[in-house]
Amino acid sequence: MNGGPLVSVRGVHRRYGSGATAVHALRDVTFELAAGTMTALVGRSGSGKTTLLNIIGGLDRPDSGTVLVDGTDVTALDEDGLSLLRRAKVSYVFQTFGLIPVLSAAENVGAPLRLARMPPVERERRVALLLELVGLAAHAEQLPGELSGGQQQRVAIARALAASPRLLIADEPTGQLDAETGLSVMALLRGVVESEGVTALVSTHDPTMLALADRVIRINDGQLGGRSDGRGDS
Amino acid sequence: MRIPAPHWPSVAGRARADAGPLLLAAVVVAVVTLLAGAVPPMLSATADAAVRDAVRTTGADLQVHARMEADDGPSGTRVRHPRLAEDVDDFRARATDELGPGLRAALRPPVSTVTSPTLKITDGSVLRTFQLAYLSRDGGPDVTWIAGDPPGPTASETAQIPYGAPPWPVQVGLSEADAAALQVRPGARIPLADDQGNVKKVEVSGIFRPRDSADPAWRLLPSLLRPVSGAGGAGFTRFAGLLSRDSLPDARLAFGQDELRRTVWFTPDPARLTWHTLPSIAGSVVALKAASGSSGARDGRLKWETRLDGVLRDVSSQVDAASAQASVLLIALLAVAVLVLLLAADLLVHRRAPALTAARQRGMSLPVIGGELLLESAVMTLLAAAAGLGLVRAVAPGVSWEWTAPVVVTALAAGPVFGTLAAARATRDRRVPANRSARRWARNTVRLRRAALETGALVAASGALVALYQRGIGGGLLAASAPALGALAGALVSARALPLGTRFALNRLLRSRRPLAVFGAARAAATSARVLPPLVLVTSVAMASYALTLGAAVGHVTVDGPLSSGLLRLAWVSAVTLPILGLLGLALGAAAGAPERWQTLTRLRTLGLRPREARWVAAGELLPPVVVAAVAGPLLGVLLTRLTFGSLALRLLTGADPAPALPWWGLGLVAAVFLVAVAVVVSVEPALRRRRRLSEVIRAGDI
Repeated sequence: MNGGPLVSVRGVHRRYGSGATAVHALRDVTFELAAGTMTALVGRSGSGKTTLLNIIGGLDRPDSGTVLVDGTDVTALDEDGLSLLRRAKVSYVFQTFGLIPVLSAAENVGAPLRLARMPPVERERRVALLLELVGLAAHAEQLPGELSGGQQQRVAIARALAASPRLLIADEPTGQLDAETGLSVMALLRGVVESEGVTALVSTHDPTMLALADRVIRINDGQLGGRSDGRGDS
Repeated sequence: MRIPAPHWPSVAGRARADAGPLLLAAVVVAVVTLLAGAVPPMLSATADAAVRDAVRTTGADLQVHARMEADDGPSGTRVRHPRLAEDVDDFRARATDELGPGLRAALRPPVSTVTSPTLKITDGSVLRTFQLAYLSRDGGPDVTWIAGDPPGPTASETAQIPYGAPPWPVQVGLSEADAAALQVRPGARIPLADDQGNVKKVEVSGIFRPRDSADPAWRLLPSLLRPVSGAGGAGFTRFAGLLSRDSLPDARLAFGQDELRRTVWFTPDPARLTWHTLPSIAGSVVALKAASGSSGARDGRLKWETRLDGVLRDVSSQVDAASAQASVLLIALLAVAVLVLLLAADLLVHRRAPALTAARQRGMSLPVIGGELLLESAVMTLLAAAAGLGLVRAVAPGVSWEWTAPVVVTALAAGPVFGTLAAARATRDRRVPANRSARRWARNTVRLRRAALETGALVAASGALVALYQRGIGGGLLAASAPALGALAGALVSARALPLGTRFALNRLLRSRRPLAVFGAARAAATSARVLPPLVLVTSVAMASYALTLGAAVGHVTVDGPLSSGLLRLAWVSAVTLPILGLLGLALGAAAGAPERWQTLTRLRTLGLRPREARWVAAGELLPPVVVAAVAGPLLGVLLTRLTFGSLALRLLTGADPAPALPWWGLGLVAAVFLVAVAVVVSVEPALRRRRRLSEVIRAGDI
């Protein structure tokens, strides 16, 4: 643990639809994440993991409740404010990688830095460092379509780290990978949390990944179903 | 074998889900069917009117002369021929027989005339001349004798006179006007002499009034009805005396052996002339003139004289030129419409690919899939075509089916063919070869096939241009398709150059500090390999520019023919319709690329791209083909006008070589409209998708 809470979620509700067919995706969810930790969010499919991640990252809005990220009330921001939040503080790793097909691995990693208007020399240095970190320095000029699934997810992680975010949200980052590759990706995430000092919230339903987390939050039918220490819990 | 029935709920569901693109395709079919169905009959009607107008205004009669048979009698005498009027009738019948049925049907009933040389009135007045004339036609022209009697014979039926005898008396009738001007009454003698001073003994038997002074027969000899000033020279006034069947033999004896001129006049009936009958009529006239006796020959052969063949040839050339220009514009409209329909079918297949693949995987056969899609396209196409042709019936004098065929066939077949191929491709068991050389071979085969297809298009365009140069407007459809094929070839080259350009721009921009430009260029590079959208855009703008330049060239000179003004209208209609079709192509292309575009934009949004910045990225993707069309299209259109205007013989319509005054404002406007359209698309798209949250897009991987 590296200090006080970076993320504070208070009484978040989220409902899809209305009337009799309404689905309560999140019900009074409250928790905090300490800075510099890696937290695993665990639950079955449809339990509300992705909804919770989206709300914390500003991709979705709660019906009620508040989310503070590094002191900023995410639920009060407009679209431009959310964009700036994602540009400066929050980044994502998706199950489907989300790379831009026509850009090389290096350009994909450099995309957030371009948006941040980082000078080219500094940007290239940072990109090279990150690709080295994820073990893809030799694949910098390859297009996503020329990389394996595991390599693409490593590029996605490097891109997520590019702008030095305070919070990294990963939604089932190993969902499309085989077990061995998935484990190596999670190990990579564990490593960058430590090396970059970033706070990570990772959803997964693979119990073998839990050992790498500092902490595990369980969610069931939109409600937090318990918590445990990750590595210490094993 | 039992044919599986279509699954009607699927057919209806697909049509409901894609009502927008289907409706758009239906509108294209209806509009182009309207134009393609209406223009040919309108052109035909205009051509008919042009033929009639030319014949009416030029007064191109058909005349035939023949020397009269000699009236020599025994011992140096001349014999009075009492049945001379019947000979004239026979001559008229013989001439009519020679016409042939086609030509005869296009002419009014013939009028035969027998005219004397022009005589001088020797009453002391000056500059007054007189002519004796016999006018005959089946059933007229009739006159009423208001004073005196009709001209009668002055001798026994078969009198003989020696050569050198005193002037032979002859009776004539005068119109009221002529009689009043000459101040003569029945029984008076008109003092006349020929150029040699030989006195003519002409007596007025009576004064007549025409039953119908507007009868076209009088037009041949107007001086029979009234004095005609200027006839025979400036300052002269001509009078004429009407001979009757009885007095005609005396007139023959009153003049020398060959002095009376016997003529049969055939006047074309404009109401019976049409553009379609013109070639056979012109051919008959030319044949008559070719078989005509020489005007100097002293024999009884028929000597045909007319300018009718020249008039018909001129108007034929004008109609050919107008038809060629109209064909050029129609082919351009059809070509762009076909491309738009292909694009619409491509969009539908894009949208339906998952459903079609699923249907195939569930065991639905390809014929059933194709059949269901054909049902849908048949209903859409036939309803739209019926609406278009219904409008044609309301606005045009007929309906042309031939020109609508390419659009109808494309609309009917493109969707089913594309959809069936997509379903087949999605489930076929073809794997990528493991061997690298085999992969390269497969890749090269695809490239070779595409190159062959595109080379074929370029060769067709070159062939059409050569045909146009060599055969001009007589080169038929191939020559008329030269501008459209040229535009397609140019568009194809532009479309192939586009990926190189976008890749080059991306590489340059990667070194820049402009993130939005980089992402826009990246999207453009990813989508620029699609050929159809730039093909539609460049072709439509090029041909719209062609139509604008054509309209400006025709409008620049005086437009006074019912042909020139019709062509001008068609040019303006094309200049408006072609960009509209191009805009539809732009919208369809944007819609087809929207899912991928929005997925990329959503990914960029998760990196911190603002909503308004996303619009610039979208514009960066959509702009390259539009910029190419806005720049290359007008240049290509103007180049095509330079290459083809001369061979398309526009001067035949305008009366002079058109110096294409380039309508820069119009060309600029067309280009500007497309650029504005991009701005509209990137503004409207987010509004249409504002209900989709980023989280949904990320999760679904689609829009």
